[in-house]
Amino acid sequence: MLSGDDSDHYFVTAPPVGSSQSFTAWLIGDSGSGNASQYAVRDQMLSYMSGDPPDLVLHVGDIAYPWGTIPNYSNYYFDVYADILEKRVSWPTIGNHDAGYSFPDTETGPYYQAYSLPTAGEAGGVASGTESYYSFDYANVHFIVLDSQFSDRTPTGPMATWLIDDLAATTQDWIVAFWHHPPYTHGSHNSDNAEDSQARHQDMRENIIKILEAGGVDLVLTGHSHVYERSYLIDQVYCPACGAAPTTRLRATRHWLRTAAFSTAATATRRRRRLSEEPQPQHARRRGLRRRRSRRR
Amino acid sequence: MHEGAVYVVAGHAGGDRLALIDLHPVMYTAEAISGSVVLQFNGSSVTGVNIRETGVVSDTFTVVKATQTCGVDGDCDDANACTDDTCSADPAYTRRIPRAAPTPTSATASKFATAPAPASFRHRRRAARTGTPARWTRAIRPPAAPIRHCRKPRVARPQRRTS
Repeated sequence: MLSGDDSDHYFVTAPPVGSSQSFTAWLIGDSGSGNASQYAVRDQMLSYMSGDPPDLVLHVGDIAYPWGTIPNYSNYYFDVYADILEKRVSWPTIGNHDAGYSFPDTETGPYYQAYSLPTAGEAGGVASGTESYYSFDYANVHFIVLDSQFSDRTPTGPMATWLIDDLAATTQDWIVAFWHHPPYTHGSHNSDNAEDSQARHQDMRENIIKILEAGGVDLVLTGHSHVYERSYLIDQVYCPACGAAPTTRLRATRHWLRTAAFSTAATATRRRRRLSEEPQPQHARRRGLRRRRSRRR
Repeated sequence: MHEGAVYVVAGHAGGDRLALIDLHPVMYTAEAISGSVVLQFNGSSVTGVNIRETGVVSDTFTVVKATQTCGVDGDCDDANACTDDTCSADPAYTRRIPRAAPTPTSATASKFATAPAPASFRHRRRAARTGTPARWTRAIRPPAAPIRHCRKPRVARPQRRTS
């Protein structure tokens, strides 16, 4: 017994699979900052729910900052949400900040220690064989939890293969999927930038979303980007850089103005001279660059 | 038949390093204010609300799933905007069925499918004029109404009778 053994600690079992029973789920992501906002967000949600926490807690990753260590999980997750977690079941997915200290190959580390997740379809769905991705049924909803951090995100990888089987097997009315890296975001991360998060956004959009949409997904929940974004009802948006054109064009124009238009013969000569000189210390070169840039403006 | 999905990014529960570049073209709304989302599943519909750290509910959306499936002849013109899409695999036949009058709900659903207005320039210009707002929303909001979501028929339908 890790905690509890009193009447405050309990959980309610899931409604029968396929039943139309109403329930609520709380969606949080990138939560464990430990600052006042985290507490305010929790309190306002409870106030909205009149003090009664939602039936499920869905965490879309980055449970604690700066890294998912045991003390950080304790201080910034389990302690903060203790009143909710002691009586509600929570379902997590792994984020990049959970990854540093947890290892999917051996399923060890604080993330895998903190949660016992289904590997053999114990909570519904097809057995995934790993705690990194899994599915579960709750009333008439089939929840699919994917791993965008560690697992192979290619369309023929083990996760995609399992996902196809799992989607084919479910007869639930609703299909809700969640993971960490959003396929569409212009928040603190940009899903149209392939260099952002090692193209995880792009991989999920181009490989995984296709499978999910073909399988009839209704709702996709993600985190990672520190922002709230909610889409239209959309379908088949897999393009490599969805909506990136204006932003990219703007950036390209700026870049062109900075380099081509203002790169005069004098600048080129200076650059050549500098290259021919003895290597300067790094800080001096940086200062030089800064001065030149400010002169251009 | 799959009619689409709603995508939610909710990395705002910690209130740390919040940022917003602009409104992504697939997004209806976005804001860099900390908060969390409560999803209410009610059998055939799901409603999501975004609750800010101040307690303000800044966004509400509903996805409704039409559960009606059709008969052998695909004769299911019951003024439900969803059913004619789910009835027949033959597009010509589908077109002959008089569609239900367009409702705000179907307009919301089809808006993206027809014209995803790229937001960047317009919003950037407005942002430059008025100072960057914390919250970006489409200039012309469709009426706040549930998004209709057509139900994928689970059972394979027999071939349409030809006479």
